[in-house]
Amino acid sequence: MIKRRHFLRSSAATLVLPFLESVGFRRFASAAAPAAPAKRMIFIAMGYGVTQETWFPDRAQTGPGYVLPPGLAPLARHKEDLTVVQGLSNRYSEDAHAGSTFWLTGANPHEGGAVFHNGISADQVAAAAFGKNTRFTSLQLNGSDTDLSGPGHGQGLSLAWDTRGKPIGGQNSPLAAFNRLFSAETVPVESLRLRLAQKRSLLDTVMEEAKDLQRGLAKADLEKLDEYFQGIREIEVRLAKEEQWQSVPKPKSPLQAPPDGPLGREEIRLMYDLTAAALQTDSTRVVTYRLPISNLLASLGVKVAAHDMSHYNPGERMEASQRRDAANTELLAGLLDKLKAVPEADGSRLFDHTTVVFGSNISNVHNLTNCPTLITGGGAGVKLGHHLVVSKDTPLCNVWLTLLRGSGVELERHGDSSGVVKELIV
Amino acid sequence: MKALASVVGDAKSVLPPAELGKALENFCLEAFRGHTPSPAFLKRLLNVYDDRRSQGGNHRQALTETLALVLSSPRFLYLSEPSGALAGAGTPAPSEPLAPSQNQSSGSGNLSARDLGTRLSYFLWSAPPDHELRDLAATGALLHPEVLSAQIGRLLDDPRSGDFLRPFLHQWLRMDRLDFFRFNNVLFPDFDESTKEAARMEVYETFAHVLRKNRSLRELLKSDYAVVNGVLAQYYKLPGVRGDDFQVVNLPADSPRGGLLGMAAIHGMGSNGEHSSPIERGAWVLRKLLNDPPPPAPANVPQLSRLEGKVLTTRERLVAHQEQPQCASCHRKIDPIGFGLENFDAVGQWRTEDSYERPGQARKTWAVEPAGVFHKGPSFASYHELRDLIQARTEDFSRAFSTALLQYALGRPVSFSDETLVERMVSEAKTQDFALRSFILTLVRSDAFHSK
Repeated sequence: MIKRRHFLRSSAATLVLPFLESVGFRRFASAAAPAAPAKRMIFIAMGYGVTQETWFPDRAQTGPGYVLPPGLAPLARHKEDLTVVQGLSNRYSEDAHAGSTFWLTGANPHEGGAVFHNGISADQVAAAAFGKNTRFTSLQLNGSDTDLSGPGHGQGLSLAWDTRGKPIGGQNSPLAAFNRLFSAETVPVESLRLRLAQKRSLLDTVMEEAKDLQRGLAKADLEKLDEYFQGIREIEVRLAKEEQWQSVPKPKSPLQAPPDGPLGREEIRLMYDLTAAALQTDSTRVVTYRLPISNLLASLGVKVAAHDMSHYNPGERMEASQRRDAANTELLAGLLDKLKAVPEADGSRLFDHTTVVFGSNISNVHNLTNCPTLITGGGAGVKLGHHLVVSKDTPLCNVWLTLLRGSGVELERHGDSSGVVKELIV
Repeated sequence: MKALASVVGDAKSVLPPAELGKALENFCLEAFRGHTPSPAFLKRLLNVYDDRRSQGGNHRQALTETLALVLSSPRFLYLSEPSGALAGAGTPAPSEPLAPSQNQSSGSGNLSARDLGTRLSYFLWSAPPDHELRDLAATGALLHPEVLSAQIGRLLDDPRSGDFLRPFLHQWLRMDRLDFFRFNNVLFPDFDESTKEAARMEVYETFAHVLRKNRSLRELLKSDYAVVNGVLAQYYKLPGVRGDDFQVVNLPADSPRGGLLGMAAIHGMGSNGEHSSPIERGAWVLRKLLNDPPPPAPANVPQLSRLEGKVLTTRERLVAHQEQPQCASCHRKIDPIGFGLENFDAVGQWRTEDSYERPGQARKTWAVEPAGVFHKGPSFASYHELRDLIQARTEDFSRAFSTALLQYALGRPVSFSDETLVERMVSEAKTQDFALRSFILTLVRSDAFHSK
């Protein structure tokens, strides 16, 4: 660490050095103003909703003076910095078994008569706007569980869906995420360059084949093949980015490599640590996390299976649901602690420039109205510390629109949004 | 893989380019289902191999990457069915009528013989055509009705037809519901994982038997036999069956087994792992067996809380459905059927009484009363009578089956314009007492199956 005295001794040379975060000095008036810390966004989804009776605050208590319900009690130390919103739903959500598939997209699954259709997810809109300058345009994290009685999150490889409504994959364990973010490349740069050139050539080959195939196809088939072309294009874009970054070494990790295999509670804690580390090292500015469920229950010693728990009645199943809520909220409080502890170069906190959303597309059981939605972090500049009840069936996408605009994304609409949520605007 | 056997070798292998080239060409021919790769493509494949070797990869690594490229090509990934002038070998020219045959019309669509063969193979085997089928397609012989019928028979007789039946039944009958809930193994210690698997297989094996022997579809609604293995026979208390293989077992006259309505898997699908669900079961019967699907439930139906906390019989609890007209309009069709099946518990065991308990409160036990009336239809006094009434509607079942089969075979939703074909499948099958293979034959010989 560069000591302040050392800096002062060589202050003449300081003006030409790049802005060094680790020094943390107050800039001189004549120095170029550093850019304000970038905006970040984190979206975290629970599967199977929440325990209706104990997660939502009392509807009669809106505003800043509301009482935190038992399900949110572990967040007491962050109460002033978070806002709970009730009354939101995704208009086209009819099937609870779709889980989190449409949480961030608000799409109509049967648009244009399709058997399945999805749209771009809110995080990908953010990634397109502020992912250009980071090694990873966005990071998709998933729980590692494969729940036998239904995944709870529905289809998809993560919470993220691209502009064509196709699923985007991610990392399904803390170790995988760590490796992606921080493990050094062992192959020499020149070999990497050759590999990339060769990958390009592979793409050319299949492109030729595809063009050959294109001749003589009927219209509907051409549309299908177009998906193939777009897939290739996407790989090309990724290759171009890899090429751009291959001579830049990955940042040193602020935390130790996680062990392979912790499940449930410990897994979530590690993923949250990695999320904070990813943002702290500016490896990415957009993160989504699709929480594990059955692993979490197992790690709490709960014997009830996740899908059964979601169809709770007073008794064993409801208790399981409440324990699950408590664990999730405790872990979230831990993430917020971490984000508040990371300093930015200008003395503010990472938390002040990040938007965190915690919620679910399912309210409880098969109820899809009143999606549990908790917003925190200063990134979008919205009203925090409040309990808001918006008019029934306000599109959840209105929240995404509000948060994206607040993060500097110029956007007309997202999904089925009808406008911003004015109660959130400061 | 035979095409590659000679060249796979090991990491240290060194191959003459001609041998490698030939092997790759054969591999492409297989992967592209009979389409010959262009010389330009083959040249690029060899370049990929050489590039990888020159970067320090060994033979195995280079070969793997080359083969991966073939398997990422659109001609492997997609079933391409070019239409019009560029269709492949064996397309009937418009001026040449197909060889007519007395009472077996063959579709006159625009699909080439090769693409027809591929479609047939993916329908009945979920796999690319084998050499016999490909050869018949290459010469155009497959377009002749007798040849086509013979091939349909051959494919159905082959054990690979299991890869049609299992995915088809799983998707059509919504058997994913069997895995939705954990079955309570304190309440039902006998319905463990292996029994559940045997129950699932019973559905497939029963259909496979009907298919193999070309028996009537009506036997799936009621039959005097069951197709079980040792585990399931024990579960159903059917004597004399041992081992893991499924076999046909004759049933005593009063047995509730025999047909889908007696199968544990079907009843398990209509439960929540602890309690039977008359609504799920009634709706399933209407959709899958009687071709009379109820409209979907209105969005966000709230839990009916009027009866919250009370200890009631199932009928008493569900009577609330009849109170609101917008609920009653569908439930008066659904509920009677579901109640008629209440003699089966959540894991498909026969019972004559049921009970409900609230923790810390009362427990109520009652005798199961299956008697009911179809909405605007006949009455039934028992499960057996209900089953007979359902079997009497084999024609409706055929319609439901035909629609599902069409959807599966053509890989698209069924539309208004398909109704004629569905009716033809049913009416032709009817002349053969709804023999299972008849439906498949009519479908494969149809214009729709022969057209892009």
